[in-house]
Amino acid sequence: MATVASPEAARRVQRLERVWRERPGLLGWLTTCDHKRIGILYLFTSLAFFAAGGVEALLVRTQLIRPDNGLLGPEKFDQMMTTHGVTMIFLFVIPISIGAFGNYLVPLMIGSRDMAFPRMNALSYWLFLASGIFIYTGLFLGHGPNAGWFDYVPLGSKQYDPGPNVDFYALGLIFNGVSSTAAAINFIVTIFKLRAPGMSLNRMPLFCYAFLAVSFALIFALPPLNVALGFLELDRRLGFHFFDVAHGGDALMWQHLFWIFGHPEVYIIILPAFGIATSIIPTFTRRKMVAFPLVALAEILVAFIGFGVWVHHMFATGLSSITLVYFAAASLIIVVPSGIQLFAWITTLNTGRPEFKTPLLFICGFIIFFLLGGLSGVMFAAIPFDQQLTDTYFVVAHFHFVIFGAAVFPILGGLYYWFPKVTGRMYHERTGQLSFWLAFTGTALTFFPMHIVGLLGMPRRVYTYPGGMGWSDYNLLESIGAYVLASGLFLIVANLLVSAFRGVRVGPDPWGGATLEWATSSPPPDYNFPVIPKVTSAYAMWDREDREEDARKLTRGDLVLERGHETPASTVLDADWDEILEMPSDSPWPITLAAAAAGVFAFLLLGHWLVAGVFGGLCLAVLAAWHRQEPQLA
Amino acid sequence: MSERVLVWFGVLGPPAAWVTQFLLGYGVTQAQCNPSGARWGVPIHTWTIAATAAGAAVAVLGWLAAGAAFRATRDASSAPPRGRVHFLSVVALTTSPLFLLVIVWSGVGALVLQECHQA
Amino acid sequence: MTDTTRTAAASRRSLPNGVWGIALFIATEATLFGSLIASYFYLRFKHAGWPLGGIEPPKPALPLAITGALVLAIVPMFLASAAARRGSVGATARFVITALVVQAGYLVVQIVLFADDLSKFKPTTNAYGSVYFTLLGVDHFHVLIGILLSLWLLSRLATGLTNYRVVATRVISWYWYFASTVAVAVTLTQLSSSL
Repeated sequence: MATVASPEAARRVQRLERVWRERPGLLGWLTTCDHKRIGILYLFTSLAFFAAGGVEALLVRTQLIRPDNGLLGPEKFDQMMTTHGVTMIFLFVIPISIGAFGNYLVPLMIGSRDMAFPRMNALSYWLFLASGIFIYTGLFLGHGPNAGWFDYVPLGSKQYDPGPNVDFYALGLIFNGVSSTAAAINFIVTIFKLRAPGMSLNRMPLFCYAFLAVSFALIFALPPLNVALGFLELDRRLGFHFFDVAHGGDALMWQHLFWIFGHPEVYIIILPAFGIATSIIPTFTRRKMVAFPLVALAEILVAFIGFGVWVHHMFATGLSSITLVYFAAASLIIVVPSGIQLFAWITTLNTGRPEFKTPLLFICGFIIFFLLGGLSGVMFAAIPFDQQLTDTYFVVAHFHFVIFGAAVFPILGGLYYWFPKVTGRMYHERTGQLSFWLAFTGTALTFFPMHIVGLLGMPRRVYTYPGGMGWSDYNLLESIGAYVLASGLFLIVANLLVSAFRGVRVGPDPWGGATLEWATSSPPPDYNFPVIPKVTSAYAMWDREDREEDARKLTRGDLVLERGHETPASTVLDADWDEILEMPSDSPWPITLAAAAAGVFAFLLLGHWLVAGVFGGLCLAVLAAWHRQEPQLA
Repeated sequence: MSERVLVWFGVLGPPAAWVTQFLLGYGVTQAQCNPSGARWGVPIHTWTIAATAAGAAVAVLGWLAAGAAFRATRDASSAPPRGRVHFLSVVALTTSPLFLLVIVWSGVGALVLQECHQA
Repeated sequence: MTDTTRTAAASRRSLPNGVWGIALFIATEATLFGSLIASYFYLRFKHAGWPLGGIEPPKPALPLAITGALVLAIVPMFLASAAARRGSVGATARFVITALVVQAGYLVVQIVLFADDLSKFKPTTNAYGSVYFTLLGVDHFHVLIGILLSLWLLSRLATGLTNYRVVATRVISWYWYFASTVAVAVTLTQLSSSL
């Protein structure tokens, strides 16, 4: 709210400020349960891992810049390549999408004051940080994960990978998975129950549909991974035989379990990007999203059908054709919801009045890369084509187009878009545009030649290659492209960092956005909104009368809820007012629980089972202490 | 029948039909094409035809139910509950044909291809 | 229990956040068990003879009986949840204790059976052993967690009912509906070679 009209209103706001004030200093950050602070923590941590994953990528590309290069030997290359994949997926893209963007924006977009479970939100962050440190401890000790990000057995078994590398991988990912599961539960309950009264399902921002889809996908996708990793560790550490053919096990079972997780995982990676794109496009085209219900359903449908395609990663394993056909059919149909979204975005751009500021440029780049990546992906749905090109650089090209081009570009655009909201300052536009062109050119140059070199037969995951295969020039181009891309990314960071201190100050709504985060100040106050906003459409910020009514509600004391640390809950489908929730404020227990959990995983890695059990007991004790604070109803 | 019941059937019926046909079809092929399951002699084609036909029927019925709910709420504003029902009917009208398509494609593919022939 | 608490519980139209939370947790844990059970049958269909290595299939009578008892313990947990919402802390505690006696008895018998199985074959014997003991072990662990949750609930109920504890009772009873149902699926899987 820009101005506060009456003394009554001012008194209410003062009370809100007192009740919601965050504890200052380092202790405040360690015990915070505020979704905005947790979002910032996630942002910086995941960007640090992005830098680490980027360094790994540059090392890989530098090793591959010419044939028979000697920068990285095979062992080091395997670790760099594997850790690059694990870092980018589990420690960068998912935490930044869900933990940073999701956490910061979802409560604001639904007109709420926090997530449904604020302490569990903090726990998700600290578990994520601890799991990242856990995995990187392995790398720094020279025992980083080294069997590829999907760690097929028997390569990942004790017999062929005797060191602790795969144990860091397996335990680290189980650890990381707890963080994501907790976050997913939090998002679903928040989106279901904490929407502002009036925000029925058909009036919910498309960003929230994307996050609902992501969260449900995580709930159902992570358990098969945990089973696979659990089986792997039991085989490796205790001599079980799940994947050991000689004793009745089956190596292919790893692939099934992994890909039942792994395929939904890639939709989990891209769905938040869809949500970001569908937030940016209406703002910069000054019109509502074309076919709103179809875009909403497409986001859910992609996640849902994504659970039925996993065997398309196994088309070359010798399964029978009548088994494969179910997965080929689903892999073809899943293109349709993606296509629906593409048509909706492009039509909205064509029929609106686009203003090509930096955020929209990144979304245009995203559309191009998603189209290309989606096309190469659907080619793989044809079984004979897949059987020729699996495990070549064609696959590497495809997934980098969709993961980097299509999942990361909206993240970069989103950083620019919401930068003024989070910092209260504007970035430098010209530098932003330059950074886009560098990133776009670098991405195209790095990943497009990989299609060609894959068709020419270059296998993936090779630490070097001989000259005279016709691959050398393309690899050189790709490595140059990687450096161009890195420079673009560096420029983005520099732009945002400098602008955070020197940028022009802005008000609540510099872009004319459609969703509720633009209704409050930049940055938002600790309590988000002085009044829970009135919602009568899916583009709440563009309903001027409702926003003016909010100012009057503040004076009347209507849905201000300043008596305690409160936010309203509403019914799931139609967001009818239901009850007032008292929210917990800062707490030391989330970080403590994460530390205890880290102890469990550390001692499991070291093989001290009893000590790990003791730390497990400590986790339960911390949980009991946590629940001694009982937020009540008003 | 109430437009709410119709729309929920339209939204949830076809995906449920696909999941059922998928699990049944995949399960039957895994059973028959494995050393242990082969001795049961599960008739893959029979099960495929049955599951595909049933699934396709539910998908079509779901589409019809969605259409009925759409027409019944045509005059609704965005206000819930009728606005929300109309929104869901648009969703269901779009998704049911897609599920019908994937059910039919899977069924036809499984019938045309040779049983247990390694790809 | 205060009047505001009772009124709040009565007037609420949708499920409390905590119950939504446990419902989603149950969804993820059910998927975990689904994956474990699917792995069991996946391995089973790879082999003509099952159990592998001449291991004797488990005897069905006792596991079926005690699992049946565990399922019956759902009734007192349901009644506990209803009693809590009525505001009756004494009745709530009594129902939880009743269920707890059955649940703890179930776990003790299962541990004895587990140890007995271990004396005959090991998880390191072959893949049958690995999947058999892992599936059962994970299930018993979930029952243990449920028992710890019930004990914690009783310790909180000792100082009276609050809205938080009313929701907690409901949440923990939902956990038990899940744990008891999944135990049926696990037991049937365990016994699938004997039935």
